[in-house]
Amino acid sequence: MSTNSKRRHQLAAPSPYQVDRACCGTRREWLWEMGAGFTGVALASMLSQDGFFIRQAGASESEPITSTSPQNLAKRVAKAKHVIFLFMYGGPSQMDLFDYKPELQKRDGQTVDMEIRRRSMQPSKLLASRREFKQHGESGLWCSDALPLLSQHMDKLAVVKSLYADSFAHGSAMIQMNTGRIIQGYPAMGSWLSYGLGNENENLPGYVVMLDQRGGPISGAANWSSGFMPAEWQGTVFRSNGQPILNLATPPRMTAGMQRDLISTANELNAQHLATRAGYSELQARIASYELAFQLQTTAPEALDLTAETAATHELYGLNEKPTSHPLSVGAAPFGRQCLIARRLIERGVRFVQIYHGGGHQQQNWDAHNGVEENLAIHCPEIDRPIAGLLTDLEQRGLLDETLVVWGGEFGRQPVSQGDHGGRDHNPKGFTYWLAGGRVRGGTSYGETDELGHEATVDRHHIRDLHATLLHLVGLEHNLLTYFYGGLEHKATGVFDAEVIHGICLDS
Amino acid sequence: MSPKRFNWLYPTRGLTLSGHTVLSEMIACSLKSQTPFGTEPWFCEWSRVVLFVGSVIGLVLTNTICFAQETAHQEPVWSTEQIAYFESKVRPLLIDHCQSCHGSEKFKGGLQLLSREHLLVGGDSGAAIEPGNAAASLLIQAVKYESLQMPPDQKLTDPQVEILANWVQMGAPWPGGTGPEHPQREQATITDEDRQYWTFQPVHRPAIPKRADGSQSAHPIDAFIEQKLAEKNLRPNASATPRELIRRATFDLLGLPPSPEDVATFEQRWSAEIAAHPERDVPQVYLDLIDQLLARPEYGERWGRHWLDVVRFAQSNGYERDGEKAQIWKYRDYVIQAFNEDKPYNRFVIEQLAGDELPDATAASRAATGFYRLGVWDDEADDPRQAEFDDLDDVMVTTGAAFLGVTLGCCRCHDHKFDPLPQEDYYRLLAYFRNVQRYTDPRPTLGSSTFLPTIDTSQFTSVVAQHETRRADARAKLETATGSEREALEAILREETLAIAESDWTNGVREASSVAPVVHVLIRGNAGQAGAVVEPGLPQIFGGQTLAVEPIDGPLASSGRRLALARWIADESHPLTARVMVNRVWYHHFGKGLVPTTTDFGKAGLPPTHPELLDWLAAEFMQQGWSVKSLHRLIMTSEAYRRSSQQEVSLRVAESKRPTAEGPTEDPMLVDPGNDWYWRANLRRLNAEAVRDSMLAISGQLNPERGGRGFFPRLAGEVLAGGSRPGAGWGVSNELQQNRRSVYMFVKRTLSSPWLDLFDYNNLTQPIAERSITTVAPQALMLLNDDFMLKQAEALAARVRRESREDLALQLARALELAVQRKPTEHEQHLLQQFVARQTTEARQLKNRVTLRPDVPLALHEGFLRQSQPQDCLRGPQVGWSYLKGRWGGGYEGIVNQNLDFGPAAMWDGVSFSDGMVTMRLVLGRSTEFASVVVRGIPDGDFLNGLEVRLIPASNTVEVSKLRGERVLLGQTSVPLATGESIQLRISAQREKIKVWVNDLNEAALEVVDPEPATAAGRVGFRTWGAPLAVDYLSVDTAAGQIELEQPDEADTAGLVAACLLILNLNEVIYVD
Repeated sequence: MSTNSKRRHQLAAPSPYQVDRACCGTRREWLWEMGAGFTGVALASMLSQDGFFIRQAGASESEPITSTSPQNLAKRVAKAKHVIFLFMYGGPSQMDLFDYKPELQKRDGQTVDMEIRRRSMQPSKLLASRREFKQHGESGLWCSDALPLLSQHMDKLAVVKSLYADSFAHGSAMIQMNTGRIIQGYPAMGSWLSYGLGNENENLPGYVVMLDQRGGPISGAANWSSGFMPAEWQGTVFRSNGQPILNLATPPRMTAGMQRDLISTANELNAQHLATRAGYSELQARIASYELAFQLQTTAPEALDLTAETAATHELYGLNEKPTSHPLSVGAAPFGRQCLIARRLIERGVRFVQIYHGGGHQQQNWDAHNGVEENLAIHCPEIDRPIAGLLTDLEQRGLLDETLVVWGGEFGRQPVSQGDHGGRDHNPKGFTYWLAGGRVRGGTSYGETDELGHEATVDRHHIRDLHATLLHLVGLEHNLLTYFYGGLEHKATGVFDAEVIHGICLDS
Repeated sequence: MSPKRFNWLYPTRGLTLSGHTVLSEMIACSLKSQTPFGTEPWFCEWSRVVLFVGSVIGLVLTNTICFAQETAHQEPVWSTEQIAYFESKVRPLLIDHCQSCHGSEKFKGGLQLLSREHLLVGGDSGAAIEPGNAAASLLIQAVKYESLQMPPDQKLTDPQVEILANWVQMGAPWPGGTGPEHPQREQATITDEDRQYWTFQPVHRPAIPKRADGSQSAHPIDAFIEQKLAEKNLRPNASATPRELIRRATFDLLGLPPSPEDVATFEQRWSAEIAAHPERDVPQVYLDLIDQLLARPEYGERWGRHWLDVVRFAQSNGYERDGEKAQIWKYRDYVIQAFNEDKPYNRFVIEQLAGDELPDATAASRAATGFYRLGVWDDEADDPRQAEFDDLDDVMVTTGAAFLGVTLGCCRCHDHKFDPLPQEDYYRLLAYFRNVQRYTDPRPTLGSSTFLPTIDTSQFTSVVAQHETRRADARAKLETATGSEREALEAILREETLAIAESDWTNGVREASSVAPVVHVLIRGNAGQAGAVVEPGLPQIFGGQTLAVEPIDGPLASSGRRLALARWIADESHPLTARVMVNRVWYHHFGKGLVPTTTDFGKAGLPPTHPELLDWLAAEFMQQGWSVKSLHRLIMTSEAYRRSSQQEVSLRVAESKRPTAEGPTEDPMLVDPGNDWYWRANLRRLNAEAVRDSMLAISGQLNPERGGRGFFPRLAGEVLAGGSRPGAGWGVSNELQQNRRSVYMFVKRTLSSPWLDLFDYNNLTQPIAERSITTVAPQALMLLNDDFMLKQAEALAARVRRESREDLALQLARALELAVQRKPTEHEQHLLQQFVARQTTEARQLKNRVTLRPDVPLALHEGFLRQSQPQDCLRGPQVGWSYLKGRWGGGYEGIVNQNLDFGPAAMWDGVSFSDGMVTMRLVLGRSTEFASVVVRGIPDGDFLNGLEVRLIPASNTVEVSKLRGERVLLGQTSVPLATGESIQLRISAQREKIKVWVNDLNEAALEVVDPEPATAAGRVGFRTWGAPLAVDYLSVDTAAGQIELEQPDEADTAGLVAACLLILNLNEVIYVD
C-alpha cells in the first residue's frame, strides 16, 4: 500500500539501519491504521519494545505491580504519566516571585551595566522587588507575597532558578521553550511526549492546548505544531468555554439521532466499497474514525463539563472569585476553569496539557515592560488560587505522583528598571521554572542566579536540559527518543548534549 | 583538524623566564597562606585573593618584558614559581571544573585539557589559549561567558577566572611537556567508496532489459519493472478499469474529479476502440485523455502545489508579527504557469536560483527568484549575525532538498555524518549565495534588498537614470531655493521609491553589488566564530572546482555567482538534478518514489528500488528536453501505472494479460505487501487540497479564478483565538472567492486553515516533499459538521434538484454520480432513498427550528472585527433575520474584547411590539454558558438594548435584566434547565410587568417589574454563548394577533441535503483506486 515505506521511514526510530525495517514497518503500520482515533495510535507498548524507554534496573518489565508486592513497588520507579504545563506567556519576573535576591534589594536604584539585548550593554538602574519575601514550609523555600496561596505549597515544588535560553525576543523564545529551537519548524514538547508515550484515550487528543481568552501567545499555532512530524501529534486547541473542539456541534437542523443515521448509512455504503478493496486497512480505519467522531461529540464536552464537579472543587480552583478592579484583569475563574479541566483531561488519559496564561500583548500577559508591580497585580491573583487548588486537588486525588506540573514562561526578566513605570525587560540569561508532582523532589531550591538575579551562575541549565528532564520524568530517554527527518534522527533536545537535571528528580 | 589549521594555530611565540626574586617570594608567601591540600578544590577568602592577584599581576607585567622566542620544537622552560602557581592554582581548577568534560574520558567539542599542547591545539573551536594573551584566548573568553559559556552548569567565580587569565597571560606554564597522548583530530576525507556511491555517478542510459524469452515489453518502464517482478516471481495485476483509469489520471494530473460525462464518454470510446483495435496495447482514447488533461490549466495548479511543498512556500514571515511577504504570490503563480507551459525543468531550476542574473531575464524569471524569500524570517532575531546564516542555511537546505536530493543542513556545523560532505564544502557552496541581501520588510525602492523590478532591465535602467537626474537637479537647485520650494526639493531628495507601479515589482532576490563578501568556515556553525576563509566552489564529491562567474553591474548589480551555480545544477552532466526530479514525479504518480526518500539521495536516505529505471528515466527526461509533461506521458502510459489496485488474490482479475513463461507462483500479498515492486497500483487518499477542491467541484461551486494574492477562507472563532492578536493579518473574502482552489488560499505561517492542516498539509517551514497520510477522528468531524461542508451539501442538493427535477431517485443517482462518477447500485439507491425518507421525517419535526451559533473569540483584532460581517459573529438564518456584532471594548494594543452582556445578537425581523407575549421552545447545548432572549429589543449601534431573559444552565438560573447600555438585574430565580432537551419558554411584557414561564405554562417562574418600561416597539432578539442555541416554534401574541415564525420550508429538501452530505463523506470520494 501506498504509505508503507513512508510511514516506516518517518517513524523509523530507532534508525532504519538498526532495526529490521520490514518487520518493524509492518507492525507499526498495522497499529497506525487500526487506530483512527484522535492521534492515530497508542505507541507506548510498541515503542517500549524498541528501546525508547528508560530501562528500570531491578524491575522486570513483565512483573505486574500489585498492592501485595510492596518490595516491587519500592524497586520500581514510578513515572509521571501526564504533564500539565502552566505556561506563563510573556516571561514572569523571577526576582519578584521565587528568586529572592537580598543584594538586589540593597542596591535598589544603583546604576549598573546590564546586557539588555544580545551583546548590548546598557547602564541601567537596579530595581529591587517591591514584594515581601518569606521562607515557607519545612523546606524553607522562598516565595514572595505575590502568590500567598501557592506559597503554602512550596514543599511540593522543585524550584529551578538557573535556567537560561537563547533569545531575548518573544517570538523565537516561545518557539524555543516549546520546541527546543529558536527556529520554527520543529515538533513541540507535547508532540514529542505524545509521540513517545502514545495516547491512552482514543477519544481525546494526546496533546491539548488551552489559551488565554485575551488571545493566544506570539507565533500562535507554531507553538504547538508537530513540525516535521505528522499532524496527528500536534497540539489540539481546547476551548475552556463553549465548544471545546472545532466542529463539535452538529449542523443546524440536524439532531444527534439524524447524524447517527447518516454515519450508519455512510458506513454501510463504505463497507460495500471496502468489500471490493479488501486488504486496504486505511479504508477500515476511516470508517472507524467516523464512529469515534460521533463519540467525541459526547466525550469531549463531558470532559469540560464542570457542573459534574462539587461546589467545594469550584471554590478550590477559584471559579467563584471576582476579578480585581484592574481593567485588564480577568480574575481567577478562567485560568481556574482551565486548571480544573486539565485535571479532568489527565484523568481521561490526555498526556500533555499546556495552558497558556496571559494573552495578547504586554500587560495582558507577563511581559512587564510597563510596570512589574502592575503586571503582578493583574496576573498573580489570576493564577494563585487556581494553581494552589490544582496542586491540592491532584494530591487529594492521588494524582500528583503521576502528574508532572510545570510552571514557567519563555524567559525571565531583568533586575533593572525599564520605562517610567518600573517595568522590567526580557531576560533569557537566568530565570526560574518550578516543577511539582511526578517524581520531582519537592521542597528543592536548585541552582542560582548571580547576586542580582540577572544571570544563571550556579548549576546552570539550558532549557534543553529542562526538556530532557521532562522526558525523563515521564520515563522517556531524550537520547533514545528520536524521529527521522531530513537525513537525521532528530531528538527533542537537539544536536547539543542535554543533561537531565537530576538534582530535582527523586529517582536520581 | 587539518594540518593546515594546525600550523595556523600553533604558537610560534612563547616565553622563558628568568627569576624574579621579589615577586616569587610574594607568591611563595601567598601560597603558604593557602590551603595545605595542594590539589584539593581551591576555595579562598577574598583577602587572600586580592593579595595573591596583586602579586601575580606584577609577575605578569615583568614577564611580558622578558618574552623570548619559543619555537614549536623547543620546550619552554618554566620557573619554579610558575610551576608552583600552575600546580597550586590552575591544575586544581582544571581538574575540578573542566576535565570531566575535556579530559581523557570525554572530550566535548573535540577539546582535551590534559596538557599545554592540548590547549594549544584546541578543539573544534580552535586553540584554547594564546599564551601571553589572555584576552584573545578562547579559554578565558569561555570562562568569562563571553563567547562560549564554560563550565556550562556553573560559572567560575571572578577570582577563579582571574587565576586562569593570569596563568595564560604569563604564558600558560605547564610542566611535563606534551600530554599523555598527542591530540589528533580526524580530517574528513572522501574515499573512493564515497565517490563510487550510486548517487554521485553520472547518469547513464541503461539498455532496456529483455525478457527471458528474448522478447521485449512494449513500454520501456515496464521492461524494468517486469524484470524485478520476474526476479521475485510476482505476477502483476491486470489493467484497471476505464473508470478507474480516468479517475486516477484526472486526480493525478488535476487534483479534481472527472465529470460523470467525461467518464461515460471515455468508457464508451474505450469499449469501441478495444472492439475495433484489440491489438493496441494502450488505447488511443487514453493517450488523448492524458493530452487533454495536461493541457488544462488546473494541471499547473495541482503540480505547482507539489513543488510549493518542496520549497516550503508561505506568504508570511512567521514569528511574532508574521508579516505578509508582499507580492510573493507572484512566485506561486510563476510556478503554476511554469508547469502549465511545460517550462523545461533545467530552465525552471535556473530561473528560481538566478532568474535575475540571466542575460534574458524576464518578469517571470525574476518572480521565480521569490524562491529566496519563502523562508521564515525573524524580524527581531536574537543574534542578527547568527540569523543571517540561519537564513542562508534555509536557502542551502532547500536547495539541497529541492534540486539535489542532498541533506546540506548537516554539514553546517560539522562534517556530514553519512555523506561525503565536509563542513568546508558547505561554506564553499554557501559562498554562491553569500551576496544575496538579507530579507527585510520590503518596500519597492531602488536599494531594496527584497524587491526586484519585473520590467526589463533597460527600462529599469532608464527609470533609475531619470530618478537620479531628478535628484541631481533637486540637489543643484537646493543651493538657492527657499521656503516651500526648498521643502519640495528636500522631499525629492528623500524619495527612494522609483516611478514604477507596485505591480511591476516582485518579491525576489537582490544583491548589493557585484562583489560578494568573503566567506569563512564558521566553527561549529557559529557565526561569531569565523574559521578559515573559503573560496566559492563545488563540494569535493562533485569535483570541487570553482565555477567561472561573470559579475553584473548596473542598478541590479550582482556577483553572477548564483547563475554559475544554477547552470551547474541544471547541466545534463549533473548526477542528481534529473534523477531527483523524475523521482519526484514518479512519487506523485505512485505514492512512493523509486528512491523513497525523495529529498535525500544520500546514505541516510533509502536506496532506489529500481536504480536502472531511475537512470533510464533521468536520461530520457533530459533527452526529451527536460519536459515534465513528456515525463507524465511516459509514466502514465506504462502498464505499471495502469494496473488495478486490487490487493486480494480472489478479487484480482484472474488472468494477467501476459503470464510469464513459468507462470506466476507467488501471492504478492505475502511476498510484497508494501508493493515495493509495483505489481499493483496503490489505492491513495487525496491530499488536503484535492479533498477540499473535490468538494467544490462536486457541488458545482468551484470558482476557477486563477492567480493573485489569494483568498482568506473564513476561520472559525476557535481558530482565530489561537493568534496573539486574534484575526490580525487575516482578511475577509466573499463566498465566491472562498470557493477558489486551495492552492490560492492565503498561506499564513501562524494561522492556517484547519481544513488543510487536518488532512496533512505541509508544515510551511521546512522542505517536506512527502506528506504523511493520517486518518483521525477530527477529519470526520470536519467533513460532517463544518460550515463549508454544509454549504457544499446544500449546493449539491440544489444542483441535483435543478438537473433532475422532482424525481428523488434521479436526484440521488445524480448526486452519487457527480461524487464518484458511477451510477448507484440498486442496493445503494435503496439505502439512500430510505435514508432520505427517515431524515425528512426527522427534519419535519424541526420544521420551525432556527439555530443560532456564536462564532467569535472573546478577543479580536480591531482591523479584523471591522471587516467582519455581523452575521459572521453570530451565525443563523440569512432571510428574515438581522444581526449585530455586539459591543467590543477595553482595547489594548489593537485588540478589543467582547462584552458578553452585549455580545453579538440576532433579531427576528418578523414582528416589532411593545406589549405582548413571546412563546418558544429552546434547546441549550451541553457547553452553553448562557442563552438570552431579548424582548422590546432595539439596536443601539452594534449592540442590543431591551429586556433580557437569560438562561444559565450551569447554575439552573433564569435572570431578567434591563439592557440600556448597561445591564441592570431586575430579578432572578432557580429553575432546572436541562441541556439537550427542549425547554418551553414564555415571556410576557405588559408595560412594567414582566412575567417568565419556564416549562410550566400554568405558573410563572418569575415576575418582575421594570421601573421605567420602554414604550417604543422592539423586536425579539437572541444571544447565546458557549454553544449553539436552537429555537423552535417562536411565536408572538400582541393585541394585533398572533404571529408565528415561518421559516422557509426546508424540511422537504433537508433529507436530500443530508444525503448529499453523506455522499460527500464516502470513502470512495477521497480514495482513488
